[in-house]
Amino acid sequence: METEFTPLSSLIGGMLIGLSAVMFLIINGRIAGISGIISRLLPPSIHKPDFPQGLPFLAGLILSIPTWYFINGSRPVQFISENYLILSIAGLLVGFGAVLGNGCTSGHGVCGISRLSTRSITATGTFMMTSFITVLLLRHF
Amino acid sequence: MRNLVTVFTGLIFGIGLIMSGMTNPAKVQNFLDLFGTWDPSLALVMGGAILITMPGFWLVQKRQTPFFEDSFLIPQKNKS
Repeated sequence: METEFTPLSSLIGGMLIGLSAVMFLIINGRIAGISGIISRLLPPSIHKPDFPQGLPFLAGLILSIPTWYFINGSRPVQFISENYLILSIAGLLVGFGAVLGNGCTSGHGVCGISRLSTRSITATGTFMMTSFITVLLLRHF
Repeated sequence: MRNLVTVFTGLIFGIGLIMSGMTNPAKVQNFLDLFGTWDPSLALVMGGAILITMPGFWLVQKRQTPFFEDSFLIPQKNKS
């Protein structure tokens, strides 16, 4: 399905994401990687009290949906597959890959790249390349 | 106080994510579809974020400590 190119709102939205990551670092001294934050809230890491601020961050993240609705009077637009089996498998793969690669789009793609971390630049290059190829194969062959 | 400010950072992250259109999987998929319905928005989201985090992180780390922790815990650079 086609989606509209939204340069301005995407740029401003991205800047807000960056602002949030900077604030998170200055407050908690940690990198705001979403996959890391979530995986630390799940077993087995949940028993290690090394990351106490994951839950409030996640709460804020979830609260952004009703906040958006309150401000705009409309829900965020979403076109998503209705095949729950495929969605679950895809989600599992994303989670598995993020744990294996020590991070996801936020941790590696934003925070890591801006620290010029070799590991993050490699990870971002790898997941971008893999996903370009996946979409190419699924949509054009 | 710390929790409250952290909730606020999560809120800003989420608002940014929704505003950027990245809560719509179709937009992400279209970014990846270079030879089809290409939508370059995602590049601007990452670019916009890095525009802020690159100078922001550098400035923050000039401080000795974060506000509510004894030290920064940042993954070591260039570790494989």
